Amino acid sequence: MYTEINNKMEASEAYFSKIIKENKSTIFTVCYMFSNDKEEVNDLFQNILINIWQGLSKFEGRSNMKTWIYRISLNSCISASRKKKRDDTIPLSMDIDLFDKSNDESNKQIELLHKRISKLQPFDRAIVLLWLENMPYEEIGQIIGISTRNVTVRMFRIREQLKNMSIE
Amino acid sequence: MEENNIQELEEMRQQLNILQEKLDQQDIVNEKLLKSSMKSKMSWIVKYIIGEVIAIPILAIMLSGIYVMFNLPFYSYIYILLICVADIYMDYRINISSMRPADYEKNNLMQTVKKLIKMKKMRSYQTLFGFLLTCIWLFWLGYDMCHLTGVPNTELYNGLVHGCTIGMGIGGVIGLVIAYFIYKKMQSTNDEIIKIIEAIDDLKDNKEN
Repeated sequence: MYTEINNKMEASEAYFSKIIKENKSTIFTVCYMFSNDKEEVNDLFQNILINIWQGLSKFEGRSNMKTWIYRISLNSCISASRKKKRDDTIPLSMDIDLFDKSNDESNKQIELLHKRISKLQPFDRAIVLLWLENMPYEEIGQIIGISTRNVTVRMFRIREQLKNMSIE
Repeated sequence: MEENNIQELEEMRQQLNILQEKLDQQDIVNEKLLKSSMKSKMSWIVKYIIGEVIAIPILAIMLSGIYVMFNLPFYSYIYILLICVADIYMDYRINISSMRPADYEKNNLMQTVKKLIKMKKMRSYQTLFGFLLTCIWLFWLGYDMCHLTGVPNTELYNGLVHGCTIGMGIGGVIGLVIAYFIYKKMQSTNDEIIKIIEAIDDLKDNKEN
């Protein structure tokens, strides 16, 4: 019996690692768009991993894994509060700092994206991120928990906001 | 104008692609981070036990005040304090000292599962004994309160005795109910860990099929 459970534990750990490694960029992108510094990204990232691990037993496979990961990541970031900062955050394994100002053209583009998105309300950030991922309005609504019509209205407002940003 | 705006969104989409290309080249996650996330499920229990340790001296001071005020025999006071200390020690033994960080390493996982099962069993015994011993104390205290000696037979004192007896009775029952819910939550934490393992295993099987 113990050998069987042991095998299951090893399989579950391996599966969790696999899910995270496959979706690391998605999770990081969400954290990055909801943060103002590197520490905040680390903090959010770890929180999301915990929520994914704890929620795996409830994942019923009705939606695909990426949609589910997006839902957990966005919900975690929207409800995150700096007051609840973890004191045992483990640094991410990265050799680039996206908050570091550099002359590199690609970094400038990323910075511009971050600047635009961070000017939006958290809820609108989530919507625009999913839209940028080419998700249909219906799926965006399912992830965020609002109707398709509401997504359409919000997207219209987001367009207006972006338009005003470019005028500024 | 609308076209210009869509163009902006398209620009943002390209920027997002640049970001994700960069991120794909990074490791981002590491073993330590993954392990830490998996361990987090039990962390609230550690905080709860620290809270218990802090609460005991406060409880001891408050109770001693009541015992002195009503000139109660201190036997039942010592008895309940011993139960509280023993309970915290058992909480520590069952929930903290039995699980070491190394238990979460892959080589020790079999041992970890054995410990999780044993933990649940030990916690059941602890709760059962704790409940019975606390009930004995409540009755003992109730008896002592009904047979007070050496206190002034004034209206004020009689009122205080009645108030305290009722208050302690209600407090005791509320305490037992809270303890029962904490016990249930601890047990369900263990169950959830086992459920997660089974669910992931099922997911893995479905994916392979």
